[in-house]
Amino acid sequence: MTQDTATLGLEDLHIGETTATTSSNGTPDQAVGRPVTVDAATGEVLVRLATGKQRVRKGQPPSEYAAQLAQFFGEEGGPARTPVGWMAGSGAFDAALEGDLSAKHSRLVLMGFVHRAYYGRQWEECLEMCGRVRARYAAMESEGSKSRMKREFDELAYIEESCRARGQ
Amino acid sequence: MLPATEMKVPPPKKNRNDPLHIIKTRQQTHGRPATIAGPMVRYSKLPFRQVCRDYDVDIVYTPMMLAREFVRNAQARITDFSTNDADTPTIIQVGVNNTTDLLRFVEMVAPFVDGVGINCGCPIKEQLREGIGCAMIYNEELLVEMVKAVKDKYGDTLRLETKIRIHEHTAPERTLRMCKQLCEVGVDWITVHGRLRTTRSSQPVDLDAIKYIVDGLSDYDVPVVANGDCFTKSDMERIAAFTGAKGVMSARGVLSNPALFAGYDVCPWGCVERFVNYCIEFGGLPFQLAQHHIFCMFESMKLSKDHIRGLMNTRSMPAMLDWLDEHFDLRRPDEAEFGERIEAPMHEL
Repeated sequence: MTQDTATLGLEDLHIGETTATTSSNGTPDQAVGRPVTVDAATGEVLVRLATGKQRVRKGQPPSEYAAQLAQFFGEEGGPARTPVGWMAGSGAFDAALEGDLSAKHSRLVLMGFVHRAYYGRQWEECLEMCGRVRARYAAMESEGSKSRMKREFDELAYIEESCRARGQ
Repeated sequence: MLPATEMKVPPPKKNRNDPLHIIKTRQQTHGRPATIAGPMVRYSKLPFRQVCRDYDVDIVYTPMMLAREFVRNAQARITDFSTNDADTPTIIQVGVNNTTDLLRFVEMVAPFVDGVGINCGCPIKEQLREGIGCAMIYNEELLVEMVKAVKDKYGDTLRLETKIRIHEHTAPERTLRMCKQLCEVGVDWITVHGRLRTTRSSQPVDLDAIKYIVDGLSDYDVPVVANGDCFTKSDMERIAAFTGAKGVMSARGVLSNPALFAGYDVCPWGCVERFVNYCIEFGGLPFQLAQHHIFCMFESMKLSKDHIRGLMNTRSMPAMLDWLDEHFDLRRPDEAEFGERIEAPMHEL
């Protein structure tokens, strides 16, 4: 390549073209979307597929983004911060137990306390945690989430049985 | 809570562990290129990032996060990103197809990371259709506009990287032209994955193309990181020597052997112990992901099919811990030689 071609401006690029339109086996390439911003204030985007189809991705009005900002920096306090030892002590476990457990990730975090006790071979403490988690889950179960929490109940049963066997 | 209109957004992270400085100076200070663990969908979460840092990885990426989801959805934020004070230097990678979402994403994450990387290399068709990932290299004007918008707003207070694939093999003129435009608008460094959008990972990486980009950008003070086919420390040295890149990124390599940059050609047992411990200590990593990480490490260690099958038959974290304890001497942090042993300490059953 010469230096001249390397310094050509973007206007010289044929952006609408891709270098390969078919894959090596002769089938059409996957469509490459060509997003076009419809509304810069909201981020509304029109995605043009190579097949010619168009899709609109709705924007986020400034007021909604401001609400997300407030939630992220205010309520959430930024991203979750989990240094080594953050689960130590009963305060963090109590907080997780009393929090909103409707989201799968919240239950995953809660079970993390149980896993930590199990990993540390603290069988009695682990068993006690299981009892409290089971009671909390049972209350949720009555609210109609039995089937989606089957995995959690199965895991608790496994842990309780193992702890009892080892704690004897 | 403050009303949304009064929310004061924190500035980008102060006292950041500057990744650009690391990339530019590692050769002088350590006699080697900067070592970088690349972003992997699902797998570059906090426990894995910390294991990498225990084994001479200078800079670690998060998995790609979709800006559109991150700025709109609290649950996506909670699921996608956790961190701590030891999680540095970290580059948060973003998949995005418009400047508005990018600026909003950067505003939200800048106080907590050392840099932001725009994913222009992901070849997954669902992302390509949205104009995200590798589609960005075919939308150069948009990519340049996005980089310019971020750098105009933040200048040197925020490091911004683009991770790209190449448009053509050997001497990718179009790619070099795009890279020069990115340099002109202030990109801090460019990571080049030496494969086309359609190249399978089983095909060797095109180091000639990466060298072509490195040489072509010699007039700019913008370092290039080489990505692709780095599975051992000798690969790292060979790739850096051939291409002239200031840094070498490994993704699949570190996934199966997080200790490769420390000179281990096979994953040492200590990685498994450290990874399990970090998973437990940080919490929040779905069991299937933890299991897959250990599966990859076991493959590197060339453990038997029976061991791998046994691992994959476990169905929960406690069951996996029991299985590991039953078949190996899995030590905890308060035990001697925790995280230090090389060979897998198998129990004789």
